[in-house]
Amino acid sequence: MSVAQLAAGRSTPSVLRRASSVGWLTVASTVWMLVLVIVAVIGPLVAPYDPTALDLMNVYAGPSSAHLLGTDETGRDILSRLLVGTAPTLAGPALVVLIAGAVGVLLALSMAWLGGRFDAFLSRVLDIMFAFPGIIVAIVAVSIFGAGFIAPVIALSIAYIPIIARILRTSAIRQRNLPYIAALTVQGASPARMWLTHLLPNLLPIITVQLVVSFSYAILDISAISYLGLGLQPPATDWGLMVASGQPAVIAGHPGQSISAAVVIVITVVALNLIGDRLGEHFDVEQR
Amino acid sequence: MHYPLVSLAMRKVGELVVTLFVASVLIFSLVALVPGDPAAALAGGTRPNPETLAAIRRQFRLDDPIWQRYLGWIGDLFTGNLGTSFVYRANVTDIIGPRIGTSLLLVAYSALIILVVGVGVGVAGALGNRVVDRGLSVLTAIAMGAPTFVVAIFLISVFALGLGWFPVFGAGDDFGDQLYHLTLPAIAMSFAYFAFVARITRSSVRGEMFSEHVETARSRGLAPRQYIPHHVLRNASAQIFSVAGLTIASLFAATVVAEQAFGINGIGSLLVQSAARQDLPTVQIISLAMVFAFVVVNTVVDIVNAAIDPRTATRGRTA
Amino acid sequence: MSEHLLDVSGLTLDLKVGRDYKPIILGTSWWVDRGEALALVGESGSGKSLSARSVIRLLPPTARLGGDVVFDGVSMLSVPPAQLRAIRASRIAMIFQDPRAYINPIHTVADFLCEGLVRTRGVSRSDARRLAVDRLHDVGIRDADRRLQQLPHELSGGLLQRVMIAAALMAEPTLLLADEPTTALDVTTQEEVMAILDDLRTERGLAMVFITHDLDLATAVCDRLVVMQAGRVVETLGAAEIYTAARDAYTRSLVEARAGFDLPDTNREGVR
Repeated sequence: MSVAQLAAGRSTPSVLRRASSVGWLTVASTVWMLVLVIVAVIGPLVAPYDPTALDLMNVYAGPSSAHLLGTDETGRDILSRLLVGTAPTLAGPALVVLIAGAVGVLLALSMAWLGGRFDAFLSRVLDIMFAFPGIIVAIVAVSIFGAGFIAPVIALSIAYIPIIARILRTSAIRQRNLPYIAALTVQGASPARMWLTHLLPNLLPIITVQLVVSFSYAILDISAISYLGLGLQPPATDWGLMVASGQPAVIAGHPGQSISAAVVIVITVVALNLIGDRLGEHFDVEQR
Repeated sequence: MHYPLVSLAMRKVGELVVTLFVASVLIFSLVALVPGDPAAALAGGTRPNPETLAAIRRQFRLDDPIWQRYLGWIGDLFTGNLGTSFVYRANVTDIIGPRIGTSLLLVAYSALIILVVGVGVGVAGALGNRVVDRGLSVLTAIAMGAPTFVVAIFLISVFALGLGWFPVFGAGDDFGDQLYHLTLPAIAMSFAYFAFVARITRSSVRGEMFSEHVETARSRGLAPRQYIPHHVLRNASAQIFSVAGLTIASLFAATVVAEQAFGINGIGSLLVQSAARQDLPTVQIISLAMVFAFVVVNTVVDIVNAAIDPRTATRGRTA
Repeated sequence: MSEHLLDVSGLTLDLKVGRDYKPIILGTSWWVDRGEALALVGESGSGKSLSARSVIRLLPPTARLGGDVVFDGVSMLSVPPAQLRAIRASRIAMIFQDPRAYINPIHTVADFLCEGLVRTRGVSRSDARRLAVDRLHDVGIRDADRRLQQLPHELSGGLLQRVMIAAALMAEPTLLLADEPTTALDVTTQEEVMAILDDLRTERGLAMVFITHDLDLATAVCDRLVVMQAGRVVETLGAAEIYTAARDAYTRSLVEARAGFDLPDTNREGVR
């Protein structure tokens, strides 16, 4: 090992990693995500108010014991709206990641396995798909099928396939070229068995990291679609929609709703990025 | 220049043409996806009368086979005829024309911020002391989690409403006024990207700082001010440029959110409004333009990159 | 002490590993006289390479050095940065193991050769280029003008290592630090490059610290050997004595490990 390598190996790349080696940030992020999942399920039950109940005598109320995060321009309880909005905020991105992940993994594995023209052709297809930014695909889908929850989710699922597939393909090819696969082939193992018992489990770490990171990007994209008014439609609500519907109030000097929703979005995305970083580092260490 | 660069450039341009062709076919055939009468779909969310429907059928040659329609459409695009929006009851060229300058300016402004601040912060983090590095790392970690519309709300409430330094809405009139109006939108739009570029720059510069060839330079008695520009920054520049280029290419799509958040009349906000009103002819043109911009910028970046780092041209693709 | 060109005494080096400092060199003493070739021999991790780097303080910023290194009357461990750079620029040159990694891949061979003189000595580019052509001829590269315009990846490993040697000679140094200069090359190229290095050194009366794990190579090109193990000097001997007078158990084990292939050979000086 040269001095340069010694020195470079010691220069830990990011403050996130340094802090997460202590662990508390990763733990906090994981706890936050678990809480969100629970809230997504029981949110409507624990919400202190009906999220759509107007209270015109009590608009723009500041935080108080009655309304922990205050009320919006029509007197609706902001906390209740955040709690009830959790499920749709997470469900869309989760679907995107599941669909794009399933297709992406299948594509990556078959491209790595079959190689040749099949791989070359699909690589070009993925390159072309990559030229369509997710948010544009989603907006185009809305212009065809109308605004709502479904169209942007399907559109983003398609737009995320090349992102996931391209990275996994590289790892899958590396795995495929490892001597143990050749050894198994010589022993006459069936491709299906090799996929399920060797290739897929060995790729699981990188797949996990990819899905976590994609989930955080999908939250950003779906929230943006909702913010633009092209996603979920009122009276239903999610966090992106809350930021948007609170924006006129920001200008009027009542930023409560927008800020509350914005803060939970940022915390969630940062938490997911931290978890992704930590997982990547963990698996990286494990593989050495 | 030596020939690997030329052949790489030709290959890249070839790929660009293929991508654009496929993209135009895909975007054109969207109409076929629409449930119901395509003429009604092209009329947008309005309920057209029979005359309008007939006009649409004529304009879009809906009675012709689809490949003829495609050729007609693409031919019109090349002659500058972008079609008619039945929602706005105007030629798409006339709708987009006055808005495109604003959007391009916004993209250019954001690109400048990303390059100057992103690369600057990354270099400062890489070459600075621990405190500077740590502070900047925390900043970029949070910035990467902040969506454009959140940053927009924050900037509006602090710098436009709180401090009153910048206007809340609009795009301004003359060039100086436009820059002034577009400052907050450009910051909002480049925020997450600048953080990303800063992180890549930092790790790339750091990697070069500890590289073997820099040791050689130091062993010959070169001072940091001599080897940092020539060996560290120059060598890191290819990777930084390729990442910055990709983010700049993505900016065209990012105008969608930034323009909407700041009420700017550009093509990004026009795309949102057209989508909401299901104005397909306009959506098709704008989305094709955005894909076009993305692909062209990426191709230029790939070629320039090969010129910066001669190894790329012979090694082939890096992405 | 007497007037050695380079006098290393009680050298210690600690490197930072994680939060702690790890001792790498534990108080070593050795010297080199003018025109003399000294080999630092040992396994990887013995501290031989870092010993040579310590001479010009080419170490990670967190490294801690102790003891003393005196080069031509100057204490290298306390010399101020500007003077250290001046010594690196004109008195001590270093040749590294892997030319692919140690030569900047994006600049031309001409840039690599001329950089030192142009930037640290104020030599004009055209003068530096003329010198570069001469040095390339010295290392046996005939088509120097074409090579100067090429990029490192267009040259073979052996050729590139000759370029590195030429670059080290550009400044006409007094001392050469050669860190396993042939290890990354294939066997035939190794011999060529080594012969060139040996010839040029003796012609110019250059002193050299030659770092290697190859005992045969060390005895072939050097006057004296310093055998290192785990950060300590275990033995110092003349090149001719290695197969007869080695007393230390470690040195003997190194010799015996090779003896099977290369039995006592007293005519090795022939190469010199």
